[in-house]
Amino acid sequence: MYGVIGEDKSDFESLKILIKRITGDQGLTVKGRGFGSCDTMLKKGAQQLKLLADFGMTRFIVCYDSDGHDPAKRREEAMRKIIGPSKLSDFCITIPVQELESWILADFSAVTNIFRSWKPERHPNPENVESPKEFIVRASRDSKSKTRYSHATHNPRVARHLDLDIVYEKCASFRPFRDFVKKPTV
Amino acid sequence: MFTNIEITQFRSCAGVNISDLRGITALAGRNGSGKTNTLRAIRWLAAMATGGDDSRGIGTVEGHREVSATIQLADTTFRYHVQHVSTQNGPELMESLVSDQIKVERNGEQVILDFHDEPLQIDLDAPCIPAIISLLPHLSEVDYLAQTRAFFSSVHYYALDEPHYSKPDPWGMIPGHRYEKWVSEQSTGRIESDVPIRLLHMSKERPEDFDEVVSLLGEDGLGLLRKISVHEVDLSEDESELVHLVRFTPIAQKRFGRGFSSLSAGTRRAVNLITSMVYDKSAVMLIEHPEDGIHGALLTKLLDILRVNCDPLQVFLTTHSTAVFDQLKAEEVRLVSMTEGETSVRSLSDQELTAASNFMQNDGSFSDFIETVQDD
Repeated sequence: MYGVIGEDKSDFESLKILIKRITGDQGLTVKGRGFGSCDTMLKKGAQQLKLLADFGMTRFIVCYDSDGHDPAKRREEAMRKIIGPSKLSDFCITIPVQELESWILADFSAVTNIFRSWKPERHPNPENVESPKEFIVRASRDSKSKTRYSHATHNPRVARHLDLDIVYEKCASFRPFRDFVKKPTV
Repeated sequence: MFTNIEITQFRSCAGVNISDLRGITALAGRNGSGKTNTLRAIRWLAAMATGGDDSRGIGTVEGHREVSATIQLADTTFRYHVQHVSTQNGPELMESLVSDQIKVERNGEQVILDFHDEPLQIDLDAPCIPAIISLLPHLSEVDYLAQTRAFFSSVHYYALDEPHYSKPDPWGMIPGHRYEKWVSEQSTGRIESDVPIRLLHMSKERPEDFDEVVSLLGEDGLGLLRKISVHEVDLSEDESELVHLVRFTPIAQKRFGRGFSSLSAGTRRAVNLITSMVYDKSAVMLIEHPEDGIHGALLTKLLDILRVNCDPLQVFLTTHSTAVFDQLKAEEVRLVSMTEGETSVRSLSDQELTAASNFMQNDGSFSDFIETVQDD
């Protein structure tokens, strides 16, 4: 049973879907929340993880966007401010290089499952895109699709269709997350 | 898009100037502070330019109304100004539209154009821009006026109020004659904004738009509805009693659809907002309290849908909601307050913007910040 926290509600919702897909267990319990900002997550994350543990969650994931900063420093900050105070042991800190949307860019063609007239190609270097969220919105504007991409609504929808092997191959930041979910419980 | 709005006089608004407008502008203030009057002033200005519903009543409106706006339209900017004053001798109406390309000035029934030698005489009841377009269709300058009219025609106000449903409608029935009447009244621009009829119309005439609504509300979108189904049923043998069925299947329901009024109030409101956005193809949406009856998580998604549709869409909304404030940028908020019966509207000052940024970096929420600022 997984407890997941992220900066954004859509991060949590997307990770929830990815965890269920990776484990192949659609009935798996995944609880958590998005905080709306990284500052709030850093302040309240430990308390939230403890609450999730009290709800019976046993494995924990913290998703903290690197936003172009040094991922190692982000990890250290998440350890110091969230994981350390929570005193939890079976955890994974996931640090998307910019934003979680880079994982979507890795298999960008998956959006065609939601927007039939929009047929973008997979991005060759998704983690080099400076603002993947904005990149996707711009691409959506320029596409033939009448409906525009809204990360809050569509990230979790697209997560259902991502080719996770492709994401694993192209996004170094995805690998620790998938490896953690795949490995047996401690 | 509107870049600046100046409300010299409109109901409680006097000397209100709203500048540096962007895709989203949120009006925050206590009940009765004048948020709705501000939206209505914008609606009135647009209606005066096009002859929409709100412009009717010239001569019956009491007092002084004066609103002007600067509008960016493609590569050009123009300023439109309307002043209506009721006097003992009857109404006085002044109107002007000025850009780099043309200049139109109305004083009562006389309209002077810088691209036409003779002044025009236009009835006070007739809106100026459409009248010029129909009187001088051969002039090239009229194309520009047609663009301005198209802009003002696509300014829509959404109170998102609903008719009173005395009882739920399990079938979602729309009698054929009612739909036909609605279609015939479309050209007048004075049709009721009934959600099921709009969806029925889109399914028949604008299937791509209908699909967009279904996509946004369905499992691949907001996850509110599993299906919106539209059927025709003939209750007679000679097709004299044609009935349309517009039925909504909530996401948690597997098989049977139901009428719009049988949906929950919050779902109806969200469906109304999405249907309006797609159906009206608005340039500007004026939305009253989008948060009413809507869960915070859904509200976040609705606001993001509005935001990604900004450019060309522009949204003005009134709100008291912490969930809405927490989705906004500080630059998008205008504080509305009432002092001695007069509404004032202002942006956050540079000092307040810095304070907001510091506050949020230290775990404060923007909604808490706004509450503190409003306590001034």
